[in-house]
Amino acid sequence: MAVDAEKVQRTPDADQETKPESASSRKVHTTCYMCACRCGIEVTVENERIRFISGIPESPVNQGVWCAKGGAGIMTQYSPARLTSPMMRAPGTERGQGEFVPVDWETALSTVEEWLRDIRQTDPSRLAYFTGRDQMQAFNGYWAKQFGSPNWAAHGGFCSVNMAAGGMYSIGGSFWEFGWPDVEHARLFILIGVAEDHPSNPLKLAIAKLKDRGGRFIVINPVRSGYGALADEWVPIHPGTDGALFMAFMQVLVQRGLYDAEFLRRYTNAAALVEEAPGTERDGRIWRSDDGDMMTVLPNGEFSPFRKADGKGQLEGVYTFQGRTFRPAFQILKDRLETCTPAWAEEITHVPRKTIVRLALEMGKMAMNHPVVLQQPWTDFYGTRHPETTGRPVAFHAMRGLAAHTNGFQTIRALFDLMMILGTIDTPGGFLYKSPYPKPAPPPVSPAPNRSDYQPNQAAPQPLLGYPLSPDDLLVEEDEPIRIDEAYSWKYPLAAHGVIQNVIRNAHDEQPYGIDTLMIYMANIAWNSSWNTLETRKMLTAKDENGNYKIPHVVVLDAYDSETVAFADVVFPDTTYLERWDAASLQDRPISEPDGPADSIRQPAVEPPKDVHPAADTLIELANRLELPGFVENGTVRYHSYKDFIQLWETAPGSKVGILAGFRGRDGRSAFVGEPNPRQLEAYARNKAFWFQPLPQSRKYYRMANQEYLNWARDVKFNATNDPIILNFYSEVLQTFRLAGQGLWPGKKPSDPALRKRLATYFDPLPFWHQPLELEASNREEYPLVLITQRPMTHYHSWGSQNAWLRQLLHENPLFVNPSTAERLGLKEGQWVWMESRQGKMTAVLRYSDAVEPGTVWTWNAVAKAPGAWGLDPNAPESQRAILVNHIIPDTLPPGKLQGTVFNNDPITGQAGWYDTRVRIYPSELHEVWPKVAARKPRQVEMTQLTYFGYSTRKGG
Amino acid sequence: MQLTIITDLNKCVGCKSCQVSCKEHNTSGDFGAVPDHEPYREVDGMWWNRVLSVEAGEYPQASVMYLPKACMHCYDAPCVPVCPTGASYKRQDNGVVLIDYDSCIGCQLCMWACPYGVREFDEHEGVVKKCTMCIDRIEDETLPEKDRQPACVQSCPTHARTFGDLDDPESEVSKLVARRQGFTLLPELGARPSVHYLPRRPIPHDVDEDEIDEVLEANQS
Amino acid sequence: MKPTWPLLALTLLQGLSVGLMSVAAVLMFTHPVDSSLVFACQLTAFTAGAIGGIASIFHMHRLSAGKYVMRRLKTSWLSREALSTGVYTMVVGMSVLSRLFMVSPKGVWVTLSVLAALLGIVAVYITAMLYATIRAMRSWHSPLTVLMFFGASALSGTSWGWGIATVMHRSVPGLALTFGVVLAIAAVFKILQVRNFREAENLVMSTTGTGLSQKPYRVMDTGTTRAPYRYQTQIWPALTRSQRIGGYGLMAVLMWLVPVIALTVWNDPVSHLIAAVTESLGLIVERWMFFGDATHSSRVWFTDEPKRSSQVVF
Ligand SMILES: Nc1nc2c(c(=O)[nH]1)N[C@H]1C(S)=C(S)[C@@H](COP(=O)(O)OP(=O)(O)OC[C@H]3O[C@@H](n4cnc5c(=O)[nH]c(N)nc54)[C@H](O)[C@@H]3O)O[C@H]1N2
Ligand SMILES: Nc1nc2c(c(=O)[nH]1)N[C@H]1C(S)=C(S)[C@@H](COP(=O)(O)OP(=O)(O)OC[C@H]3O[C@@H](n4cnc5c(=O)[nH]c(N)nc54)[C@H](O)[C@@H]3O)O[C@H]1N2
Ligand code: SF4
Ligand code: SF4
Ligand code: SF4
Ligand code: SF4
Ligand code: SF4
Ligand SMILES: [Mo]
Repeated sequence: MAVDAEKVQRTPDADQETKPESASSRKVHTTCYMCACRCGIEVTVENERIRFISGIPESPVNQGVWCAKGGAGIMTQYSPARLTSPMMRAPGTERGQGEFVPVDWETALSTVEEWLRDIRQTDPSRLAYFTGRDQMQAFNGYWAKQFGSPNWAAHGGFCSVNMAAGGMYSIGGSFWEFGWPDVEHARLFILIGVAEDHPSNPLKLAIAKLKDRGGRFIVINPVRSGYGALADEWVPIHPGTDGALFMAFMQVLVQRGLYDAEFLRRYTNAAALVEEAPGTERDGRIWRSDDGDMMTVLPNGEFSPFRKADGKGQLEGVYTFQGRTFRPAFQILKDRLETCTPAWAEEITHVPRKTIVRLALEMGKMAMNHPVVLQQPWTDFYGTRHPETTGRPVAFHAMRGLAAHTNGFQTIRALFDLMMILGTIDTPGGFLYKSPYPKPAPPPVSPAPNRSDYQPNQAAPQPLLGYPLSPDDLLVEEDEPIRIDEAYSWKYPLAAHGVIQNVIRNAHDEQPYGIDTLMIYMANIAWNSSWNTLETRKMLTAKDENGNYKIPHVVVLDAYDSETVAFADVVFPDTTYLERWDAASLQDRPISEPDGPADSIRQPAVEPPKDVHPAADTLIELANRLELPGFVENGTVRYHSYKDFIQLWETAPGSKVGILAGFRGRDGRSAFVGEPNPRQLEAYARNKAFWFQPLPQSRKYYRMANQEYLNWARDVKFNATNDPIILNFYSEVLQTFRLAGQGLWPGKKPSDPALRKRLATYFDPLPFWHQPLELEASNREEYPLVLITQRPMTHYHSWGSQNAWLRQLLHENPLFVNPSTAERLGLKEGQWVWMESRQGKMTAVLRYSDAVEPGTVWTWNAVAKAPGAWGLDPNAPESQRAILVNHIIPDTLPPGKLQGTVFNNDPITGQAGWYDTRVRIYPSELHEVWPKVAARKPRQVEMTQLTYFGYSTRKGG
Repeated sequence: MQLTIITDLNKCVGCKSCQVSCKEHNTSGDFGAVPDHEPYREVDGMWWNRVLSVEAGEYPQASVMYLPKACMHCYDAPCVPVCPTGASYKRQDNGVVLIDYDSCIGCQLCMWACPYGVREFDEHEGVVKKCTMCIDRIEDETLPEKDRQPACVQSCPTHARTFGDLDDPESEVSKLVARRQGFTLLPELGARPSVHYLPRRPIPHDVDEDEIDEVLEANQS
Repeated sequence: MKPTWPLLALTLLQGLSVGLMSVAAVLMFTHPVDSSLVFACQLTAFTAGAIGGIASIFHMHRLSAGKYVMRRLKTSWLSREALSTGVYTMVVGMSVLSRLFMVSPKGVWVTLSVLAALLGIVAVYITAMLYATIRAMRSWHSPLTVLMFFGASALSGTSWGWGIATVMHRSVPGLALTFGVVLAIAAVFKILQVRNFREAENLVMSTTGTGLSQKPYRVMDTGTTRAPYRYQTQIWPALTRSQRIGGYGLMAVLMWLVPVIALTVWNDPVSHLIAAVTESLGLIVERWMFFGDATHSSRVWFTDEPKRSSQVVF
């Protein structure tokens, strides 16, 4: 057996014994960044190399455990894809070829500085700054706002804005960073549309606890894997149809009286009286008292403001007052549910009606007959003292299986209404908020709506993202969008996270206008977060008649040689997460748990390479050079680095609220509110890199209505007031948009009839199910199957494949098909097939799996790589055997009545409809991956030629 | 004493944390490296713990299961007597099966003898390697108490893995095996593995069929 | 299991050597006058044994620990093999030397030769037991393994003895008949063994005895469940049906068909040589298939992508 000993990489002298705790070994506490869970990790460094990464037992997030990605962080640190110096596109080469010359920092910075200065002096909107999976949105958002462009957003548009917005507009919170199932008390846990890892360690810990307690676990998903594997019952559902399922659940629950009427009356607006006045601007609006409170009707027929009704507002009936007709919101839903029978839902969802009824009965009975009662008194906003805390032991958790459909917003609304009906919002055993949530539903922040708000040399007056409360908050001039991504336009009105997936096409088409510079931080938009990928890549390189790039400048801030880096004109190399200061902030997406607010920091475990600087420091340097307000005041530079920014920045001058909530004040003794502490990071470092303040028992539940909590939340500035947060069973905000669609809204409204129709159709104040737009648009006979993807536990999007260990765990992705479907189509296990959608076709290898619903085909997400990217050999299986289905996911809907491009987005939030692709599959004569993009040279060719790699941190001998 | 690891298949989600933490600890540990072949081209590498994914049953009754598989530290470890040099041995005091690289000739006979395919051959060093029960962690008194357990047990996000002495009837592992019908793999091959697995135990629903029919009927009329 | 050349060389050449030594020992008594034929056989046996012994060194990957190989005589058939094959080769060597230099009386040569043959039989037994006692190697765990090792040894011994006699223009009555008888017996063993291999393969099934509930199950290939053949040498991609038919077919033609035709139909010196050569080639194929077609119990947990494009192992 020949051993290729020539190419051996080991640390010098692997054999000599060194004790782990030798002088050259140290332990550093920081926060993991191998995925978005932000677990606390302890990094052991030996001889300046990473010896071991393990979980911090005290961390509220991961409680000492760590996942495959987390442990394999070692190999990411030593990845051959790492960028090691600033680079500029090589003269004479084309964008996309990936030919670069290394340049010094001054050259790269001054080049970009010049472009930005010019933009800022003329029209700041010509900068589009989009940040992907970053964990410093508070900073990035502030940077862009101070620059003055409306065109900033993070990745939410292509991720899960439906979930975020659906929750924020319903309950002032949502799943994941916003809230969480209380499996410590739940007896029934229902997981919907979550793949294997959302979130990773916390959900795994939770499921384990549920199992220890013997709780029942139900998974609703077209695919059974990961968490689904552990389910006591798997409910295979046809994609995009959960809304119908939830409506049917509610139908059964309401019909059987298995709902928490008391909860609905006291804490939601289900009892609010909604006016029926078709053709007027009052139609569908909630009747309000003079002081703006909602009106309800008491059992004796008297009308009373909600807050005075003390939870006695009636849920049913039709009422008239001075010739006006009103129905409680609940009654309207009840009427609608008449047609939402289990039989109706069976047709749509492919879930047998018996199963639908049984599941509904299961959750209803569990909720109503087995309440969780905690001996914990609390006082609600009515002033009523409850001697104990009662909850419903039915917990839900849901994610992109609902969100990534273009009916997702309404589906998620249905889920939250279902949860309200069961009385399981912020009650023991149900859904629990995580600090700083709950916020008002929705929070009263939204971006400045006028073009004149974005002027040269001026900061934007408001944060760039937020939650419109009515059409008047939209960023439109007549029908024209103000933002390049059309967020907050008539097409995507509640685009609370921006619409990153619209940027490239719009910039290319100069719709609504052309831009000068596209700056991308941490998003692989030329590959796995783009759709119709080949064309998207073409748009990035397209030129006008004069031979100039249609998108004149592309700047990329990345740590690794991703597919997108090849499309940059200037690349700023970022450090790895083990080399920088960073924060997981309550201003952004904190690590809070239901038990209490928490945040954390990252600190360098090892030194970065000489020519690599943290991206945030690069941005601060640019801000300082451009003298952006807030960064440079009266000629004085306020922050020299992100480390300064983390410690010194305040949400508003003198607000005493900043990035981190712990160890504030000069002495480091304040929490939440306190003066900036220049030694705050040291304090965090001493505290194992996190800060956690458990809530007292009396403030842990019913927080939307718990007066003690609400007072406290105001004091710590989570909320502006201590007003109760009434859950939006009925969304009046949506109704205002519907009115605009009907031409009845007094303020802003679109003039294009197609836009009006769109608003009128989808902005239903109560949840309803409709077919996702793309599933509707493509022919079901021609394309009978729905194509979806899942995330694997071992990879985080595209960046797992550079990792020598993780890539061994997954490096190719067949197309999983139910054997009955395959047999019907005459297809065999292992066969190469064409998979064709309305957008185009690609090849795939078929693999049988009984764990998938027969109308669905699926594969792993983001495993495929462009040849030569990510430091891999161009012949690596990731480019030869793995497939990227994004190639055939349509980015736009077929032309219809609407003017201009209509993206494959949710009509309410602009969420990308990743899981709405219809396909057909048939035998392929081609037995290889197709389409393929041109190969490029890996960054460190010598690494791809290593034949033996025995990583070790030992020294000596 | 027989140290062992029990995996609860009712909790294992197949996340492969145990697989990676094993490699992570051991590659720089006393029995490392745990090498990779052509790490940025091919996808072959050594793992002392491999997690399998298994599908069973037909749609819609299909089930999916995960099975982490490392050395079973067998009572009658067949890998030990076949070894000509005595490099493979079973510790008298705690039942851990280990390999002394200094006397291993790399003949791989032990790999043939092990029924479980958990021994892996390092061509470069010419020796066979495998799970050591993290002996260099559990016996390292300089480590804090919490770290004196196998890496794969410590990292497991669902706490599906439990470490302990199977010969002590009072230990957690013994109790789990007794109470939850712990079973071993390939029992007919007579190696008597100490590593046990706990089977699935699905929780059924408790809804009355009649009531379902009642609801359906009510909806029909 | 992957057939590796050192193992093929060692087992084949050991078998040939012992077979020839046995033939030589028998000839010593049946043809006492023709000592040069006997010696030619012994010399070949020694050469074969020596090459086999040297080849076995290449199966060790750490020569520096080679000194320990006989540490576990009590339990390890490999330790015993090292000892027995070593002693055997030594005695063969001594016997050859004693004839070559004629230093000792003929009785010593005869005694050494007989002793060598007996030791050889023990050595083949030990080598065969090394394979036959591995329970996890489902195909080998059978008395047939031992019988077939002896069969192969006898076949190579008689065919080579015959070949050597032909080259030396000697005629040894009875050798052809012996060869024929051995061929027939070996054919029976082989047929049983091939059946055994198939049964073994079927035994290593997800339906049987891995201990998992809910059988039968299907292993889903998730990357590391694909067999890492480089690191797990006890398994090898399962042969495809056509590879198997081809392999065993070739073996049958080379080991049985051609020699039998050569013996019975053509029956001239050239065809005797052809028979000896094809028999040897056939034995190589036979041994190759012995390794290549063997099923190890651990295969039940690995998907076999390269040759079977299935998520399902068995
Ligand atoms: N390991 C790992 N963890 C990650 C990530 C990663 O890349 N790797 N990414 C992170 C990010 S950015 C995100 S957004 C989250 C996403 O986390 P998830 O929401 O869990 O992500 P997806 O992989 O999109 O899983 C969608 C699931 O919904 C199912 N599904 C699809 N359509 C439907 C439907 O119509 N109904 C139902 N009920 N189910 C459906 C799919 O089968 C799949 O199981 O994960 C985060 N965590
Ligand atoms: N078909 C299909 N497509 C999808 C999805 C799907 O479910 N199916 N999911 C969508 C979703 S939810 C999401 S969130 C997107 C995710 O898609 P992307 O946001 O494109 O995510 P990544 O692939 O992780 O790319 C992030 C980039 O960040 C870089 N990076 C990693 N670490 C660092 C660092 O420390 N510093 C810097 N500066 N850069 C770093 C990486 O090198 C990479 O270039 O994909 C979307 N695409
Ligand atoms: S779950 Fe995410 S953050 Fe936590 S250890 Fe794993 S990769 Fe790191
Ligand atoms: S770490 Fe735990 S849950 Fe994950 S694969 Fe291993 S045993 Fe299973
Ligand atoms: S490979 Fe090493 S440990 Fe295994 S049997 Fe041979 S000498 Fe013993
Ligand atoms: S599992 Fe294999 S290597 Fe481990 S003790 Fe048992 S036989 Fe030996
Ligand atoms: S006990 Fe240690 S060596 Fe064995 S599998 Fe677990 S981590 Fe690996
Ligand atoms: Mo995402």
